[in-house]
Amino acid sequence: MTIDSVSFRDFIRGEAEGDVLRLIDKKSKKEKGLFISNKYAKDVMEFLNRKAKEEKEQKKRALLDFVGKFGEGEAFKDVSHKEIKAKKYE
Amino acid sequence: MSKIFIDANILLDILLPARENHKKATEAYGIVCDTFETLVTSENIITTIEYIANKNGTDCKIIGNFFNNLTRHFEIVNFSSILDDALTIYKDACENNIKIDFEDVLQIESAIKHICTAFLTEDKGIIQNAHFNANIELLRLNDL
Repeated sequence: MTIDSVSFRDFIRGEAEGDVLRLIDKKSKKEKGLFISNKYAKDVMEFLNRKAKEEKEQKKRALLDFVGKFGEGEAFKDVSHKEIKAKKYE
Repeated sequence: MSKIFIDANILLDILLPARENHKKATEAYGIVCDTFETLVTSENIITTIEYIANKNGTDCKIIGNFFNNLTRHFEIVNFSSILDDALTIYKDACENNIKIDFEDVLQIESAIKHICTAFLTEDKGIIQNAHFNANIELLRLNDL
Protein backbone atom coordinates (compact mmCIF):
# COMPACT_ATOMS: atom_id res chain seq x y z
CA MET A 1 0.00 0.00 0.00
CA THR A 2 1.37 3.41 -0.96
CA ILE A 3 0.51 6.42 1.18
CA ASP A 4 1.53 9.89 0.07
CA SER A 5 0.77 13.56 0.63
CA VAL A 6 -0.30 15.79 -2.24
CA SER A 7 -1.63 19.29 -2.78
CA PHE A 8 -5.19 19.73 -4.04
CA ARG A 9 -3.91 21.31 -7.23
CA ASP A 10 -1.60 18.43 -8.06
CA PHE A 11 -4.30 15.94 -7.16
CA ILE A 12 -6.83 17.56 -9.52
CA ARG A 13 -4.22 17.67 -12.28
CA GLY A 14 -3.69 13.95 -11.81
CA GLU A 15 -0.08 14.49 -10.86
CA ALA A 16 -0.14 12.17 -7.90
CA GLU A 17 -0.38 8.46 -7.54
CA GLY A 18 -0.93 6.27 -4.54
CA ASP A 19 -3.45 4.07 -2.76
CA VAL A 20 -4.02 6.65 -0.07
CA LEU A 21 -3.37 10.36 -0.63
CA ARG A 22 -3.45 12.93 2.14
CA LEU A 23 -4.82 16.07 0.53
CA ILE A 24 -3.06 19.22 1.68
CA ASP A 25 -4.08 22.82 1.16
CA LYS A 26 -0.83 24.29 -0.16
CA LYS A 27 -1.51 27.80 1.17
CA SER A 28 -2.50 26.99 4.74
CA LYS A 29 -0.51 23.71 4.89
CA LYS A 30 -3.55 22.16 6.51
CA GLU A 31 -4.66 18.61 5.88
CA LYS A 32 -8.09 18.70 4.23
CA GLY A 33 -8.96 15.05 3.78
CA LEU A 34 -8.05 11.75 2.17
CA PHE A 35 -8.30 10.18 -1.23
CA ILE A 36 -8.72 6.41 -1.13
CA SER A 37 -8.11 4.43 -4.28
CA ASN A 38 -10.68 1.93 -5.51
CA LYS A 39 -8.49 -0.91 -4.31
CA TYR A 40 -9.15 0.04 -0.66
CA ALA A 41 -12.42 1.99 -0.99
CA LYS A 42 -14.62 -0.98 -0.08
CA ASP A 43 -12.62 -1.66 3.13
CA VAL A 44 -12.74 2.01 4.12
CA MET A 45 -16.49 2.22 3.47
CA GLU A 46 -17.08 -0.91 5.56
CA PHE A 47 -15.10 0.64 8.41
CA LEU A 48 -16.98 3.95 8.14
CA ASN A 49 -20.37 2.26 7.99
CA ARG A 50 -19.50 0.23 11.10
CA LYS A 51 -18.38 3.42 12.85
CA ALA A 52 -21.59 5.26 11.87
CA LYS A 53 -23.66 2.35 13.22
CA GLU A 54 -21.73 2.43 16.51
CA GLU A 55 -22.25 6.18 16.82
CA LYS A 56 -26.00 5.81 16.28
CA GLU A 57 -26.12 3.08 18.92
CA GLN A 58 -24.19 5.26 21.40
CA LYS A 59 -26.62 8.12 20.75
CA LYS A 60 -29.55 5.81 21.54
CA ARG A 61 -27.85 4.52 24.69
CA ALA A 62 -27.22 8.11 25.87
CA LEU A 63 -30.91 8.29 26.82
CA LEU A 64 -32.19 4.73 26.80
CA ASP A 65 -29.64 3.50 29.38
CA PHE A 66 -31.18 5.98 31.83
CA VAL A 67 -34.86 5.13 31.37
CA GLY A 68 -36.33 4.71 34.86
CA LYS A 69 -33.06 5.71 36.57
CA PHE A 70 -34.73 8.89 37.84
CA GLY A 71 -37.76 6.94 39.07
CA GLU A 72 -40.90 5.91 37.26
CA GLY A 73 -42.03 9.53 37.26
CA GLU A 74 -45.45 8.91 38.84
CA ALA A 75 -45.43 12.41 40.34
CA PHE A 76 -44.60 13.92 36.95
CA LYS A 77 -46.67 11.76 34.65
CA ASP A 78 -49.31 14.34 33.71
CA VAL A 79 -47.27 17.52 34.00
CA SER A 80 -45.32 19.45 31.40
CA HIS A 81 -41.70 20.50 31.60
CA LYS A 82 -42.88 24.05 32.38
CA GLU A 83 -45.05 22.85 35.26
CA ILE A 84 -42.21 20.78 36.71
CA LYS A 85 -39.96 23.85 36.60
CA ALA A 86 -42.64 25.94 38.33
CA LYS A 87 -43.00 23.22 40.99
CA LYS A 88 -39.26 23.30 41.55
CA TYR A 89 -39.34 26.96 42.57
CA GLU A 90 -42.44 26.71 44.77
CA MET B 1 -26.22 17.83 7.86
CA SER B 2 -29.61 16.94 9.32
CA LYS B 3 -30.36 18.27 12.78
CA ILE B 4 -33.40 17.80 14.95
CA PHE B 5 -34.39 19.74 18.04
CA ILE B 6 -36.06 17.56 20.66
CA ASP B 7 -38.60 19.31 22.90
CA ALA B 8 -37.90 18.99 26.64
CA ASN B 9 -41.23 17.20 27.18
CA ILE B 10 -40.23 14.43 24.77
CA LEU B 11 -36.99 13.85 26.69
CA LEU B 12 -39.05 13.54 29.89
CA ASP B 13 -41.43 11.13 28.12
CA ILE B 14 -38.48 8.91 27.24
CA LEU B 15 -36.81 8.99 30.65
CA LEU B 16 -39.90 8.58 32.87
CA PRO B 17 -41.76 5.30 32.24
CA ALA B 18 -44.96 6.47 33.99
CA ARG B 19 -45.63 9.18 31.41
CA GLU B 20 -48.36 8.47 28.89
CA ASN B 21 -46.18 8.92 25.81
CA HIS B 22 -43.22 6.90 27.16
CA LYS B 23 -43.47 3.92 24.79
CA LYS B 24 -44.22 6.02 21.73
CA ALA B 25 -41.45 8.51 22.54
CA THR B 26 -38.89 5.75 23.15
CA GLU B 27 -39.65 4.13 19.80
CA ALA B 28 -39.59 7.50 18.04
CA TYR B 29 -36.21 8.29 19.61
CA GLY B 30 -34.69 5.16 18.03
CA ILE B 31 -35.92 6.30 14.61
CA VAL B 32 -34.67 9.86 15.25
CA CYS B 33 -31.15 8.53 16.03
CA ASP B 34 -31.15 6.51 12.80
CA THR B 35 -32.45 9.41 10.71
CA PHE B 36 -30.78 12.58 12.02
CA GLU B 37 -27.07 13.18 12.35
CA THR B 38 -27.30 15.71 15.16
CA LEU B 39 -29.63 15.83 18.15
CA VAL B 40 -30.26 19.21 19.72
CA THR B 41 -31.98 20.29 22.91
CA SER B 42 -31.87 23.26 25.26
CA GLU B 43 -29.87 23.50 28.46
CA ASN B 44 -33.20 24.15 30.16
CA ILE B 45 -33.78 20.41 30.53
CA ILE B 46 -30.65 19.79 32.60
CA THR B 47 -31.80 21.40 35.86
CA THR B 48 -35.26 19.85 35.47
CA ILE B 49 -33.84 16.35 35.21
CA GLU B 50 -31.54 16.99 38.16
CA TYR B 51 -34.59 18.13 40.17
CA ILE B 52 -36.57 14.98 39.26
CA ALA B 53 -33.57 12.74 39.98
CA ASN B 54 -33.01 14.35 43.37
CA LYS B 55 -36.70 13.98 44.30
CA ASN B 56 -36.37 10.30 43.42
CA GLY B 57 -33.15 9.89 45.44
CA THR B 58 -31.09 8.89 42.40
CA ASP B 59 -27.37 8.49 43.13
CA CYS B 60 -25.53 11.65 42.05
CA LYS B 61 -23.00 9.47 40.17
CA ILE B 62 -25.81 8.25 37.92
CA ILE B 63 -26.93 11.84 37.37
CA GLY B 64 -23.34 12.80 36.51
CA ASN B 65 -23.02 9.91 34.04
CA PHE B 66 -26.28 10.92 32.42
CA PHE B 67 -25.14 14.51 31.94
CA ASN B 68 -21.84 13.30 30.47
CA ASN B 69 -23.74 11.19 27.95
CA LEU B 70 -26.17 13.97 27.17
CA THR B 71 -23.48 16.55 26.52
CA ARG B 72 -21.43 14.09 24.45
CA HIS B 73 -24.26 13.04 22.15
CA PHE B 74 -26.48 16.12 22.07
CA GLU B 75 -25.80 19.67 21.00
CA ILE B 76 -27.02 21.59 24.04
CA VAL B 77 -28.02 25.15 23.17
CA ASN B 78 -28.80 28.15 25.33
CA PHE B 79 -31.31 30.92 24.78
CA SER B 80 -29.05 33.96 25.01
CA SER B 81 -28.39 34.26 21.26
CA ILE B 82 -32.10 34.28 20.33
CA LEU B 83 -33.52 36.23 23.23
CA ASP B 84 -34.06 39.46 21.23
CA ASP B 85 -35.83 37.65 18.37
CA ALA B 86 -37.98 35.68 20.82
CA LEU B 87 -38.98 38.86 22.61
CA THR B 88 -39.97 40.49 19.32
CA ILE B 89 -42.21 37.51 18.46
CA TYR B 90 -43.69 37.56 21.96
CA LYS B 91 -44.46 41.29 21.86
CA ASP B 92 -45.87 41.01 18.34
CA ALA B 93 -48.19 38.17 19.41
CA CYS B 94 -49.24 40.18 22.45
CA GLU B 95 -50.13 43.21 20.29
CA ASN B 96 -52.23 40.94 18.06
CA ASN B 97 -53.97 39.32 21.05
CA ILE B 98 -52.39 35.95 20.29
CA LYS B 99 -51.55 33.97 23.39
CA ILE B 100 -48.20 32.24 23.12
CA ASP B 101 -45.96 30.54 25.62
CA PHE B 102 -42.54 32.16 25.94
CA GLU B 103 -40.69 28.88 26.55
CA ASP B 104 -42.18 27.50 23.33
CA VAL B 105 -40.95 30.56 21.42
CA LEU B 106 -37.48 30.22 22.94
CA GLN B 107 -37.22 26.57 21.95
CA ILE B 108 -38.46 27.11 18.38
CA GLU B 109 -36.21 30.15 17.83
CA SER B 110 -33.23 28.19 19.21
CA ALA B 111 -33.95 25.36 16.79
CA ILE B 112 -34.11 27.77 13.84
CA LYS B 113 -30.98 29.66 14.94
CA HIS B 114 -29.02 26.40 15.19
CA ILE B 115 -30.18 25.33 11.70
CA CYS B 116 -32.32 22.39 12.79
CA THR B 117 -34.36 20.91 9.96
CA ALA B 118 -37.03 19.53 12.28
CA PHE B 119 -38.53 20.02 15.73
CA LEU B 120 -39.92 16.99 17.59
CA THR B 121 -42.79 17.87 19.89
CA GLU B 122 -46.23 16.87 21.13
CA ASP B 123 -46.87 20.32 22.59
CA LYS B 124 -50.24 21.56 21.31
CA GLY B 125 -49.22 25.16 21.99
CA ILE B 126 -46.36 24.78 19.50
CA ILE B 127 -48.21 22.65 16.96
CA GLN B 128 -51.26 24.91 16.72
CA ASN B 129 -49.45 28.22 16.76
CA ALA B 130 -48.51 29.22 13.24
CA HIS B 131 -47.50 32.62 14.60
CA PHE B 132 -44.01 31.35 15.35
CA ASN B 133 -43.65 27.78 14.03
CA ALA B 134 -43.80 28.47 10.28
CA ASN B 135 -40.05 28.37 9.64
CA ILE B 136 -39.36 24.82 10.77
CA GLU B 137 -40.80 21.37 10.12
CA LEU B 138 -42.72 20.13 13.14
CA LEU B 139 -42.68 16.40 13.75
CA ARG B 140 -45.00 14.60 16.16
CA LEU B 141 -44.30 11.17 17.61
CA ASN B 142 -46.79 9.58 15.22
CA ASP B 143 -44.96 11.09 12.24
CA LEU B 144 -41.96 8.84 12.83
